[in-house]
Amino acid sequence: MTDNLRHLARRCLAGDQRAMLELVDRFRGQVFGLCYRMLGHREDAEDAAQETFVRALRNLRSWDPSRDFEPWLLAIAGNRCRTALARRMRRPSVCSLVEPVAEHRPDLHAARHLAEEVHLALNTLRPQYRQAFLLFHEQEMSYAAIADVLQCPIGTVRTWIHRARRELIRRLQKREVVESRHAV
Amino acid sequence: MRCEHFDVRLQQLLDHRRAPEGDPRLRRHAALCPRCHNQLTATRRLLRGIQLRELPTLDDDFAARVVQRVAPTARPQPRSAWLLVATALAATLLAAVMPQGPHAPHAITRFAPHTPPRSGNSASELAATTAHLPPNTNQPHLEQSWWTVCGTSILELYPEQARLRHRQQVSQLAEELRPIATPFNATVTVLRRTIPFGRPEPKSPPSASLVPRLAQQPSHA
Ligand SMILES: [Zn+2]
Repeated sequence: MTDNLRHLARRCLAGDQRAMLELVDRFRGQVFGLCYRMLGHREDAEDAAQETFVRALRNLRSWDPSRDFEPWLLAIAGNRCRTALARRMRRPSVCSLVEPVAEHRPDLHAARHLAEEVHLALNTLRPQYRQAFLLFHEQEMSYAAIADVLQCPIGTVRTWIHRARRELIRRLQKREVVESRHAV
Repeated sequence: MRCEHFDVRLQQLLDHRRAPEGDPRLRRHAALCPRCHNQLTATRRLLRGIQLRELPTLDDDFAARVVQRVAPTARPQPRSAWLLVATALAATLLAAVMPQGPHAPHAITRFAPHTPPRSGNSASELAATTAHLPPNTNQPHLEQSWWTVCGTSILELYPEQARLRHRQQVSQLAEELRPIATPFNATVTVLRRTIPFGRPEPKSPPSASLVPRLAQQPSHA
């Protein structure tokens, strides 16, 4: 896997466009997934994902082949997302995320409702907490790998993830999502 | 277990990706403490909600758009370049080996194998397609179409293949060969004009600027 990736990276550096396509296709799911969960908006996430790959391919020489590629790539994605979030904070929000009132609908939308509540709850977290939480619970990365991505000590990662969980749980309790009788 | 220990234990289990409900101490405390029970339920709902979230799909051309930005000026692929070189080389070699005028049989004999090929291979099939044409080495080969020249030459090398004469089959296959042979013949003619050891086309004025310059040089023949 790693050797294969090193070979792919070498081909990319040589200007092989087929290799570039292969590299992007291999990691597009992970990168776009993180961007979408971080930004909560499809177009913004696609822009951030594209920017991530463009930067990664242009700066591929700065990747140390003795280390894993994935944390390096996701670190770029995280930086792109934080930049996008900062830019979003500066400009007046045209289409702010309208929070729907919690509904107790005994129908098939219960699953979607829960997913939406979690999505909204995640958007209230600090970007670092959110990113650490998503990398752990969604990308299923280890604390060490997340520390590599976020370029901070493992202890800090653990603290951020614990805080993220507590805040999310509090938020769900406040929104009465927990009390729903129509659990999915 | 006290409530603060409950929270610590809950975080530890989640850190190890283990289901909190599977821990007996946690379950016992949650059964007695409404606050911690609520926290346990909220944790379960949170993890379930993460699983349920859908991810929109990216467009199929996402990777292509990225590569377009990184390398906007498309460079020829190495494979295409090699293919071009290999084709040119093959055509040049073919042009060099091809029969040229009345000396053709001798030229080809130098490359002929000592043992004739087995019946049914591509050589015999090609011989069969042209077997109805009588070999005529007195007439300049350049006046004939390329497939006729090849077929005749092969028959000269492998006369025993002449028994494969089937006029109907030959006619059908010859029709299929013509569209391929005609443009290839033209290409080979151009190559023979330009390569140093090729002969200039006798019937038409050369179009390549290289040939007149060669013609002005003293002949060493
Ligand atoms: Zn308690």
